[in-house]
Amino acid sequence: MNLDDRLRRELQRQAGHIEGRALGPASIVTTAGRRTRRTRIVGAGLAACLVFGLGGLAVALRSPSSTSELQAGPAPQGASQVENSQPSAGTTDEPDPSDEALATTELDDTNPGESEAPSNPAETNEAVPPAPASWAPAQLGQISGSVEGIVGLAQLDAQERASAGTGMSIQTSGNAVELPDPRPAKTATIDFVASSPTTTVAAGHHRSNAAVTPWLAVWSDEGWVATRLPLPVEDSASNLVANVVELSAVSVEGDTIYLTGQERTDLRVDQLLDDDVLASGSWQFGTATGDMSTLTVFDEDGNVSETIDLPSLGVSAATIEAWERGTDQPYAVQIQPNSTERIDAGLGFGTILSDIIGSPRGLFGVGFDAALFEPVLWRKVDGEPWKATATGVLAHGTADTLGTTNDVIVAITAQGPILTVQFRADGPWQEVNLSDQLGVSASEYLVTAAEINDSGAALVIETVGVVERYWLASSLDGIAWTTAPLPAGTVAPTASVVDLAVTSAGVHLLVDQGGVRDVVGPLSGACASIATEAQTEAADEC
Amino acid sequence: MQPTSAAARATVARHAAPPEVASGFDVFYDAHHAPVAKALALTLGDTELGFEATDEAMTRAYQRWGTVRTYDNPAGWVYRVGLNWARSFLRRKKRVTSSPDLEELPTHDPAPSDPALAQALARLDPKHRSVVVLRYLLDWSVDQTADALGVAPGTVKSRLHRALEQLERTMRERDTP
Repeated sequence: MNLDDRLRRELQRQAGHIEGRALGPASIVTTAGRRTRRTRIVGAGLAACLVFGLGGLAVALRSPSSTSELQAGPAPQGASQVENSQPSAGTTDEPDPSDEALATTELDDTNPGESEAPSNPAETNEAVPPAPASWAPAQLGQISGSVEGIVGLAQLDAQERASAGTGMSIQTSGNAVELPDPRPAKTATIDFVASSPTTTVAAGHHRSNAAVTPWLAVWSDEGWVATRLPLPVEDSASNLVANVVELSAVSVEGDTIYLTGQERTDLRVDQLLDDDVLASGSWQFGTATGDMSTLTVFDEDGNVSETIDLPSLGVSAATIEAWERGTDQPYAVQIQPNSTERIDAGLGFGTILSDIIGSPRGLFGVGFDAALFEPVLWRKVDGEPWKATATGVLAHGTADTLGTTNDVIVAITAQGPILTVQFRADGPWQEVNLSDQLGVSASEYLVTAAEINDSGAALVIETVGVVERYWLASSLDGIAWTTAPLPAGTVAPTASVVDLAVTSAGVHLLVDQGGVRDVVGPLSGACASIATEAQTEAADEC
Repeated sequence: MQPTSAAARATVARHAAPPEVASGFDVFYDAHHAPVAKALALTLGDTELGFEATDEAMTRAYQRWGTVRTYDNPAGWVYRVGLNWARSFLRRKKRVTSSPDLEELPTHDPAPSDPALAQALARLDPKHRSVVVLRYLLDWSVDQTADALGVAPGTVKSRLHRALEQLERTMRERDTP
């Protein structure tokens, strides 16, 4: 008897020994006391971390070859490859049953057609101050806080403007900047913004029919320099080492930009293989022997059906290694201004980075280590591979949001019925159980927005089943946390909190009411421990 | 520590389901609960945990049945949610199940008819064992398996390839004096 038959027989025999326990469908209902979260962990699945310096941006792109061409020129070579790409990880509407994304389906179950009607404008006006007049009239798609103040990003319909030769725009503190995009797109959305004292970047995606094209823009002395993804990153020998098409996180440390994303592994193969091989519909780079110059084709039963010598197709071993690792493992690529170097991520097989942050102490990444079966914090110092920190294992859960405030690393974790913030200063991880701290018995806890920066940390928690719908948890130092309901009237009953930003003045909320978005805040005092001014007065409001 | 029993949970959470939802869900539940539960039990090497994970996943499927029912393979979604729930549970309980020994297999199966294969299966890590279980026990296609595990079809094939290799290797080593 061959192995296939033995396997079927053995598994069926084992399954036959398992006694089913009937649980009637009528009892499969909403479980009382179940708490879920709303934040989305992006980057689950294949993860790639591309690291390149600003000066290396032009080097990193296959074509056009100069930065100036990128500003106004056509899409880089290879952009057409993304025509059939999937929506970016952070924007897909389809529920993902992955561990981290389980609770995102709560969001996705919302039927847009059932959106609630705007509330009384007069009521809104009392609670929601108008946005600064200098901001663009377009909807605010995302807000990001900094010590200096709020940065507003405009999300607008780019198609209309494309016909006039313009693209989308980014508005930062009142200075509108056009991002050139010669190709019409129905919508252009900003998904990420990140900044350091020297560098500001924004990234998002265009959606045009079935095609979703990520883009990246960098603010420099020359203004915004924008390019579409995929970013075909080449090494010094012009070998393609990565091709990012889906971004899940963007971070900046100094003048180095860190992108976490996902690449399409089929794009390159489409170019490499002849029709006969592609027609088989089953291919993957082999890894069992560590031979990175071989393409192994598997059949439906996992048997090797064909082995292809890739150098004979003009593909170098370095290229293959990058692609092979991309199928199952995260990896990192580093491009310096005058040199190109691929570095080993140092992450074990099956590990996934879910978020990365830059800090004065280096680059940190949080994710899941399949070998340890634990969420782990990694740290990367310039020139060295990723290393799990000595106290890297979180108390529990996989962090949804990671950040630093005042040199304290903060991870916000919603894991099953527990909503916590975990923090690490110099010692091991410690945690604050926010779900206990709230002191109410809500049927669900949803983290609707969170931000951690040097001004402090805050998250908005939505509770289901209690009178106080929105709660704000905040901390000045990432260690001592305060929780309180949002002041009455801050968010109208028919409105929802979309995003928040933390500044030295307090917490700002981005509130959506029937599609109209406005900024509320800053919240301070007992409502938010970020700002200590007027705490006494604000205590009454809360 | 074993998870809370499904029966206890069912007692706590017993309500009438909306007819328009329950009708479709009833059929789905009846058809897929037992197979998915058995698959999860074998994947996890823990019958109680497998059934509890299935119950949890079925609860979530019910809560969003309007969306889940539209998927190509709703049972795959349930399997994946259940597997993830079990992983989270194990992480919380600090239980490591990456390589359960034969002794850790369900005790109701004292005399496996193919002990070499049973032992080899038990030594597969969950990632590879899940592919084997879905392909050989549930007879799901590569695409269905990939959808359920949230990986690319090519990854399913390569994992299956490596799993079979490891099974054969483990059995050879067992046979070698």
